[in-house]
Amino acid sequence: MPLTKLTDKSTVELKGAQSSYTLKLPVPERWDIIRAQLHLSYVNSTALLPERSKLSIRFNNHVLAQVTLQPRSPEGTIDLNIPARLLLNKYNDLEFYVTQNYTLDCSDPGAPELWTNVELNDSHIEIEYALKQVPLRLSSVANMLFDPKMFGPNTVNVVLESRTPELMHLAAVAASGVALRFEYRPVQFTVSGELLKGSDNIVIGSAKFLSGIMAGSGASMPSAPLAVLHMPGDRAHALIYIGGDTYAVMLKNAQAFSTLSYPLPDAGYALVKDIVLPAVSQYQGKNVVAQTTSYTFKDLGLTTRTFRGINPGSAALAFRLPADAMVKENENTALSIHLVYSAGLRSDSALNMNLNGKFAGSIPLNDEKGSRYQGYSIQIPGSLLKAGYNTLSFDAVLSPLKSGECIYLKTDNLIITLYDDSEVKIPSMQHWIEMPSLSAFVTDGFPFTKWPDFRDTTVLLTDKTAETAASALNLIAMISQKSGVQPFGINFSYELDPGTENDIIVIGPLNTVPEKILQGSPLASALQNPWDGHLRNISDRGTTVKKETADRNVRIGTRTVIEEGRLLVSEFESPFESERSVLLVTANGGRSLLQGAFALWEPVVQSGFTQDMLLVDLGPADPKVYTQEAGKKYYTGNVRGVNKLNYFLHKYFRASVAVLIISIILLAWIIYSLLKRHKKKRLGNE
Amino acid sequence: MTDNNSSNKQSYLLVCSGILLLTFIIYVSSVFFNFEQQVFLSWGMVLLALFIKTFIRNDQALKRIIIIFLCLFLTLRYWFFRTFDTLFFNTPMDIIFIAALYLAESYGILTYLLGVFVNIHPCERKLIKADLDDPALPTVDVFIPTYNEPAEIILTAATASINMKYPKDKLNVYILDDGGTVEKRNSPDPAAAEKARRRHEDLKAMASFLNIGYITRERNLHAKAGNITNALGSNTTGELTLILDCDHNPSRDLLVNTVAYFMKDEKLFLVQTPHFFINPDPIEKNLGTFREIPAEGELFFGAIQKGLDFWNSSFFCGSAAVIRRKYLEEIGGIATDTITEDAETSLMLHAKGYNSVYVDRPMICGLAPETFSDFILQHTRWATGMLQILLLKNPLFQKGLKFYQRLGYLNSCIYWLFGYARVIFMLAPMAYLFFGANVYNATISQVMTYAIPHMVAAIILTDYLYGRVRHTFVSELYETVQSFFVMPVLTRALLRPRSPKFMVTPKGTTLSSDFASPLAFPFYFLFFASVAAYPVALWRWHNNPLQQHGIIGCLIWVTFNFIMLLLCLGIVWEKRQIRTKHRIPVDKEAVLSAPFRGIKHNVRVFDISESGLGLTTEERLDLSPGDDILIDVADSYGNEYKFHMKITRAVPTDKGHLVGCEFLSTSDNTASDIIGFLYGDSEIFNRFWEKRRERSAGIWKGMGYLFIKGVTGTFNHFAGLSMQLYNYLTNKRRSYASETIPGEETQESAAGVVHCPVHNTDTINPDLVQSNRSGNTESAADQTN
Repeated sequence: MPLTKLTDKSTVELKGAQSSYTLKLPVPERWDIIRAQLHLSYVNSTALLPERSKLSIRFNNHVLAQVTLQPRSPEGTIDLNIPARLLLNKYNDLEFYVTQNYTLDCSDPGAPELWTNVELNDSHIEIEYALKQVPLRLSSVANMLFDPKMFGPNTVNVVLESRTPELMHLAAVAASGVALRFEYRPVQFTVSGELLKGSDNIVIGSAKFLSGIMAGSGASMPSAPLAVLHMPGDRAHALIYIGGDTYAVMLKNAQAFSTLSYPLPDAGYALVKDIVLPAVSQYQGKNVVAQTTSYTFKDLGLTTRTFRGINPGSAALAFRLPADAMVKENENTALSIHLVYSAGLRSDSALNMNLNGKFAGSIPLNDEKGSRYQGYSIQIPGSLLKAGYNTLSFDAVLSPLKSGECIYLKTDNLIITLYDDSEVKIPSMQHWIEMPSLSAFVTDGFPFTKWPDFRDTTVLLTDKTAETAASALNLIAMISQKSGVQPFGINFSYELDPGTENDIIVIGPLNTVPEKILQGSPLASALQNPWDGHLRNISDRGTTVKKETADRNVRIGTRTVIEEGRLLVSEFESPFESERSVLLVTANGGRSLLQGAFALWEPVVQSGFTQDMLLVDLGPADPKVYTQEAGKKYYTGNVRGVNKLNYFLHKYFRASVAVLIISIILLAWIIYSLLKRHKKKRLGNE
Repeated sequence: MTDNNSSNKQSYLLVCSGILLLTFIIYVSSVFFNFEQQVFLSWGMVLLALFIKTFIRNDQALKRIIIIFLCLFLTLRYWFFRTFDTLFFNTPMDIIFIAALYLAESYGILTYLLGVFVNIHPCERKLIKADLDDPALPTVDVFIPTYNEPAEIILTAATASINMKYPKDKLNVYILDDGGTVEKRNSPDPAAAEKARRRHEDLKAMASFLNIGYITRERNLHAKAGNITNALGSNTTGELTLILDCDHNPSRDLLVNTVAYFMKDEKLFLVQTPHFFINPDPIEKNLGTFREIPAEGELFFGAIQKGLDFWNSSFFCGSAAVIRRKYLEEIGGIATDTITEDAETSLMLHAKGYNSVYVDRPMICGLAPETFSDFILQHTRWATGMLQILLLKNPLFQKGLKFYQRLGYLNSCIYWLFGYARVIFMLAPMAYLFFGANVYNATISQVMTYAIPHMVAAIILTDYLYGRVRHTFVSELYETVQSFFVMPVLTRALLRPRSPKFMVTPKGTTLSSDFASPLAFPFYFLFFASVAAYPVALWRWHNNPLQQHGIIGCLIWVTFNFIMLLLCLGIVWEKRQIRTKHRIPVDKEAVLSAPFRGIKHNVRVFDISESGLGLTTEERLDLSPGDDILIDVADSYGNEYKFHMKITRAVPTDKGHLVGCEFLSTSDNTASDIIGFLYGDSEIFNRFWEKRRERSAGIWKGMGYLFIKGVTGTFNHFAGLSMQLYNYLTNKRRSYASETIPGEETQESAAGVVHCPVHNTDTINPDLVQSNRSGNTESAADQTN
């Protein structure tokens, strides 16, 4: 596994006289480590003095290796074995620690020559492991089977008795439960009518169906309709059964499976009598913050943090605004910071704050005797906030009071503690967004998760193949993982209901997509006027598909719409209801569709979700994404006034302005006529 | 009947459609649009308004209303933005400043909307001349109330009144003397009593000489209002009453041009005419804008009264108005609950269902206050009085008024609250820069797409509606310069609405030298604070990078205020004013003859005053100072005058001479002729106004003009102060030297001392008037005590 999978950086820069960086290496519960080997690549400064410049590799505080940083051969690699006993089933610390000097006597600890880069791109870790036996306990669902420390590839096969809309609903609930337990890890779902060996399987159906697919395996049937079993002949993989005599019982079991998160009952099965779900409100979800509400840093995941030394690092907290959030640019995000800092800091020390990578404010730490701030107020302009995830980071810059060449630097007293009862107050916001917006979709599934349980969403499956069903499960599970809420309200359908007032997700091969959907999509113009073979309005910018290559991708005129190995995702306004959206996920055939659905889990694909139409090239290498703006704009949300009227005013803005001007002229004429009458009355014949 | 029904039905339909459209427009003005849409909408509207204003030539009335609605849309949009998107607070101090600024802005927008309502369709009346031979012509009493004004001022007004064209048997002129009442004549202060007795005798003699009435009363109750009401019950019987301030000289045609309206409309109670001032007010004088831009009163008389007239709401302005006696008597005479008795009286009579008319032709010529202090005294009285009406007789709740009359009066009343708003506008950006107070929650892009389009639209609209009578930002100047003095007075009136007393505005004051007005202090403070705001802003810029938008906004704002302060400093530097007879520009043909030299030559008179006239000759004549000449000249009505004059100066020009000459008194009629020629011809006033209004400068030029005037005025102010300080120090040194060097004489110097106004002591005919001629600023409170 490349080390870049463990962080968002491709290179770790270690600067100064001493510096370190720690990676978190996850080792899931399910793994039994046999062997691990680390290959590390680094480059150091040619100004370093080898006698006093060392790179240490530490694993969970155990020093694995020390390397002298050679100025004459600044590029180096390290290959080392990590003792299996050190790899614990948790997030393990892999630390790169350097001490760097350029003279024997004394070095300026902040000298720019003191640097070493660890090249994560060229570094990797190899782990050989065996899967542990799956304990036949329901709690293992939450604790072991679907563990975010499993960096994949993670696969789950859903075995359905039939692919009716009802069972698809159960499958979506179950798949979302799995995806939520993986937290942020991709997980690929397949759908079949029988068990898939070498994978965990979730079987949804009647007991008869279960006995049918297990026939001949010799395995015993579970005692209850919600159970964890071993896969026949494979104790390392689980078979999770979600069943029941009626749909209502199956639904109860599916919901229980999806939400189960506690260790009890410590048994392999459960008879679910009842399940009470919490009320769901609009714009609820993982890390979502509410307007005009104060949150402590602890609420947002940042616990009390002490920064120490010359390179104290940074701390960050993240929170999410709904994808359609519109923060007034003139409103401020208010921070009330509680901190204490030590004596002996130079007056140019400071705690800097960045919101979404932009400098947002700074607290001077300029009292040499040390001090404490209680409720230090910082106002951050609302324009720095954005819909979706926001990251507020704190970077301490601590300088020793006494510094200079050949002066013994005392850095132990460079301390600042940021308390987690510091607060951030979210400004007021409105919900208003220009649609279509695939970036909003990929943020948290907007608009389908406006009600996070998908209650206003219908998933239209254009055929009954396993690939289409699996693609739908992957998409729904992916959205649920982002929104943090299971899709208990979702509807599946194989028939298009033209009277629907819901948002619609259409999934299936293009030749099976209903004509009415296509007519409402940006592809409609091509259908009406046989296309000459390329996407409209294509510019030559960066990631956008180019004219000369587009015609091999899209040939709607000949009905060979998309070539094998490509996925088309498009969002547009529902042809059946204004302000409602349709997400069309389609491909040349079922195989490409499923491959595409798997690809949608990948961060590289998700980062390409912009504008309103995208094409994912599922070639042999990493998938590539091409996007463009193809459809008409529309608006949705809830700003002051009458929403429907606002919708028309925005959608037909120029026409609205024309109507406004005509209204003004008409009103002026009416007033003029009335004034003339008044004048006649007042002045008579004068 | 059927026609009436159909017309009513049409009106009903129009009103319903109008309400629907208005609702839609107001709704759209409140809707949120994104940045690009807002840019398109706001600046598109501005451009459309400009385009219509500049290029559309037909139907001016409809065009006017379209421009009004386009501009008001942007204003409404801005107000909705301010109300819904900017009012949030982080600290208690924010609440105070943000709320204060918001209220000030909302007040400004309300007065702007009311002003536009009033002026949406100003009444352009044709003059209706009365047939003086009509036996039904009503009898007219002319009342000239006086309190402490110099006798020669009263004499001029009385003479001009007698000169009015109207059947003599139907015209009676009365001097209503409140300076010589029994109470005054028996004052416990012997000097005051003697002064009152002398005044009483002088004015009685003057009345007798002019063959007009003299009325005084026992006690000085209710000041001017009481004086007039007393006259109504003192054997005066005229069906109509022309009320004139004693410094207001009527033209010959005043009654001819006003009486006919009463004969036409039985329910008419008032015909008001404009006030024309022959002298510059202190702002015009000190900034040097007289004859260059329209005077302060011209906005009111040239536009607002016409707008009010359309809504049957034009009101009595204390003078130059004809009132029907019987309606006045119905309400017990002139109203006395407030110190703006004129507007109050109109309000009461409008509430009784009677009508008023405004005739837009200046037919009196009066005197504006000469000093800034007098100007402020006059304006604070108006402000206080109108606030009293708002508090004691709120037009919104007066029974009998039509809705448009309520709005018209409301507009007139709340306008005077500008003092609060202006002070807030002046202090708000400084509060931000100096104390970091959050005054306005908006980013620069919001300012550019909401606030600036609104301001630009407001400038376009006000220039379009009032540009002829009020140049850009002159209103802001007049309001700013008054605000610091109006505000405390209004606050007192708000707390005790019945306490303010009538204060007479001194007229005919002269100033012996330049000096800083005693009211200059607030402007010094603000000037230096504004100057200091720039380095403070620079400091903030460096230390608060996230506030740079706000800092830029406030700096622009401070700069605008700074320009206003420059002008204010120019205004409070009182210019020397020794001329007692003010000149008015004319362009009249005349014949100059000097019989002893055999000269008879056509000349052009270019200005006239009570003391003389200026003329140009087209060829060089054998004239020199001291020569006696005769001038034959005719007024606009064809009345011919022959004046015996003496040349005071003769300056050769390219072709001829520029000649200044003064009147010589050769008969008892000379003064009457001079008054008749100077004040009798309303066409002179009319042309003067028209000419001044032709100089419309446009928005940018107008702003540049004001800036230059401001810089010049401030320079003059500080240069004058420096000179006075230098003189003072020099004198001090000399005085010290003379004290320390025995035998050296002490030198006196007029420089370095504070100069006080000197009141006019000139006379027209010294034989006619023998009185104590010093004009004092006395309070009518004294009268009532």
